[in-house]
Amino acid sequence: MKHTKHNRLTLQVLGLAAISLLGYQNCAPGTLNSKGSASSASQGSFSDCGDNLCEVADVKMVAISNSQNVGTAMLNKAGVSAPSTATTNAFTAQSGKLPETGSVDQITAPAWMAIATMGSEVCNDLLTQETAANATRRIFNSVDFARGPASVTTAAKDDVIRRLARSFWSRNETMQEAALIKSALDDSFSGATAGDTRKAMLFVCTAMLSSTDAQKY
Amino acid sequence: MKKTTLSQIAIAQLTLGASLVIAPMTSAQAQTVDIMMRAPQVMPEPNAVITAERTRASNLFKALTSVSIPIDDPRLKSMETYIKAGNIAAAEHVATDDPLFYNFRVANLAAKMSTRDESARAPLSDFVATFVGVVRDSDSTPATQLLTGNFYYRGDNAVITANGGTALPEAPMDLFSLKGTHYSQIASRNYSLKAVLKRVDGQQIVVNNAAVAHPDPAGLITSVAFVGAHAVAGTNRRMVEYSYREFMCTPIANWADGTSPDDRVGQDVDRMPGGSPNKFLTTCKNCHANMDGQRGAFGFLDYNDNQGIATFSTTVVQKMLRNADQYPQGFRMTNTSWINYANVGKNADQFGWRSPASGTGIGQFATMLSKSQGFSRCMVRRVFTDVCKRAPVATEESMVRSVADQFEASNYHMRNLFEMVVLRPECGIN
Repeated sequence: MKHTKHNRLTLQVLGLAAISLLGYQNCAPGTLNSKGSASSASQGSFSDCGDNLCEVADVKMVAISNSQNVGTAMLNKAGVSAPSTATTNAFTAQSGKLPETGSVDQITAPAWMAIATMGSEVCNDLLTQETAANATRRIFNSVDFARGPASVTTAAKDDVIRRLARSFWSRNETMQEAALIKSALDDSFSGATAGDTRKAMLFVCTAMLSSTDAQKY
Repeated sequence: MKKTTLSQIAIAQLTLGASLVIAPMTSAQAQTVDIMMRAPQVMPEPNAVITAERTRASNLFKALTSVSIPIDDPRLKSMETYIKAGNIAAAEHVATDDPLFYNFRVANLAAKMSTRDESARAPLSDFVATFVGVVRDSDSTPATQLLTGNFYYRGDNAVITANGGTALPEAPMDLFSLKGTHYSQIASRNYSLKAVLKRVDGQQIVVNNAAVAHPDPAGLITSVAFVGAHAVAGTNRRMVEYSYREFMCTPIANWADGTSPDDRVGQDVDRMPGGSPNKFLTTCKNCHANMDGQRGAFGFLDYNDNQGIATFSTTVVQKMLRNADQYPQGFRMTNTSWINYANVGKNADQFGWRSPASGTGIGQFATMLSKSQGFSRCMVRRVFTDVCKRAPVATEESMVRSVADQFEASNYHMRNLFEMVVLRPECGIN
C-alpha cells in the first residue's frame, strides 16, 4: 500500500498522541517513574485505578534505545526478518535525531518523531509480511483485511493489542491501556473501506512500537 | 544459506546445562552458522502467564544485550527454565552467547573507547573487532591482552563464503588503513560479529603497500583506529592521555600531580608562559610532568593521515622534537625510554601499580597499564555504566574494587564480568 505524505503525517500525529497517553508520565531527568508493578499488570487485572492509567512510584534507572540499537530492537520486537528498502532508508535518515547514548535526558521531540517514523515503517513491513498470500499470521490473526474497520470485533482488537503488547512491551497490556487504544481506534478509523483496516492496524502497531514502554530498557 | 534454527539453539542451550564453555571458534567449526543478524519471528502466546522468572529473564536479556525481545521468545523461555532451576549463570549465558550481545552491547562499549569523540556511533574498526573478539573468546583470552596482545581480529572469509556471503576485501590497505573497507563492509552487510570474526596472530602495519610485522605491538593501543585517533599530528602526548582515559578511566586532570619531577618535560613546553614561571610551576607542570615522562614510549610512532596508516620509525620521529627552541634546556627525546612518575600519593592508590615504573617502548608501557588495578577497575566501571545505565557513584568505590578483584581472580574473563555486574544489587536489574 502506498503511503501518501498526508496519511503518514496523520499516523505520526496520532501515534504521538498515543505515546503521550500510554507512556512518558512524570519524567525527571535521568530517571523515569517506571511501572514497578509491571508483573502484576501483566495479568490485565489492574483495576484499582478505576478508568485511569495506573502509575506506581518505583524510581529506578532506565534508559531508552539509542541510535545504535533502536532499529534492531524494533525489527526484533516485530519479527520483521527482511526489512524493506523504505525501512532501511528510514533508519539511515532518522539516525542522526536519535538519542546517542539512550540517556533519558536525551529525549527530545525530534527523537520521538524519528522513533515514530521508524516504527511506522517497521509496522508497515510487518503488515506486508502478515498480509502476504499464505503468510503465517502472528499478530493480526483475527483481522480480516478484506473488510472495513467496523468488521474488526472487540475481541479481535483485544487479541491484536495483547499480541502487540507481549511483542513490544514484554508484558500484557492493562485494561486501561487496552481501552485507551480501542477508543483511539474507534474515533479515528470508522470507515467502511477495506484499506482503512490496514491503516487502523498500522496506527495501533506504530503507537505501541513507538511508545515509551517499547523503547525503554 | 545454512543456518541454525532458533529451536535448535534453545535445545542445545538446555542440554548443555550450567557449565557452558564457549571455545574460540575456528574456521572449521564455524562452517555452518548464520552469519547474518536476523530478527526471528516469535509467535506470541496471548493466554500464557508471564511468570516472575520470565520477567526477570527479559530484564536480564535486555540489560546484557541492550536489545529488548518479545516476552514469548524461546530464548527467554530457556532463561526462565534455568532461573526456575536456580541456575542463574546458565540463564545469563543464553544472553551473552547471543549475537545481539556482541553486535550491540560489546561493540557499542568498544566503539566509545576507539575514537577521540568517544561516541557509540564510531564505525566498526580493528579496535572494535578485536575488543569484541576478545570478549567472545574470553575462555582462552584474558582481558589484559586487550593491551598486551600481539594479534587482531578481522572478518573470516572462509566462514563468510562457506555460508553464502561474498569475501571481504583483505589487501593490506583494506585491513590496516583507516581508509580501507574491510571493517566497514562487515558492518554494512549486517554480519554477526560472533559468527564472522577470527583472530589473526601478529599485528601488522603497512610499509610500501605491503604488510609487515608490527615492531612494537600492544593490543588495542597499537590498533589502526586508536593510533589514527590519537597519533595524528600533535606530539603523541594524546597517545598517553587517551591510554589512561580509555583503559584506566582516568582523564588527565585526575592524574595530574604537581609534585612529580619535571626532568622529562619536553623542550616544546614554555617554562615562562606569559612571562612568569609561576603558571608553568603551578599548572602546566601538573600534567606535563606525568604525561611527558611516559610519552617516550611512543617515540618511534606516527600516523600518516593521507594513507590512513600507522608508521613506525627506528629513530625518534620529528614531531616529538618540534619547537625545541621554546626551552632548549628541556628534555630531548633520543629513544623510547619512559618513566612513570604517576606513582605516589593519590595516583598510587587509584592506579594500584604492580609493575616497574620505567621501561622502553609501547609494549612495556601497555603491560604496565594492564597489570595495574586501575585497568581492572576501569573495565568494571565501563561495564557497569553500560549495563546498569549509570556510572558508579563515589560511595560505590568499594563495590567497584571488590568486583575488580573478582574479575582478576577469574583471569580477567570479560564475558563473566558482564554477567557478574548485571547481578549486583547496585545495578538494579531484577
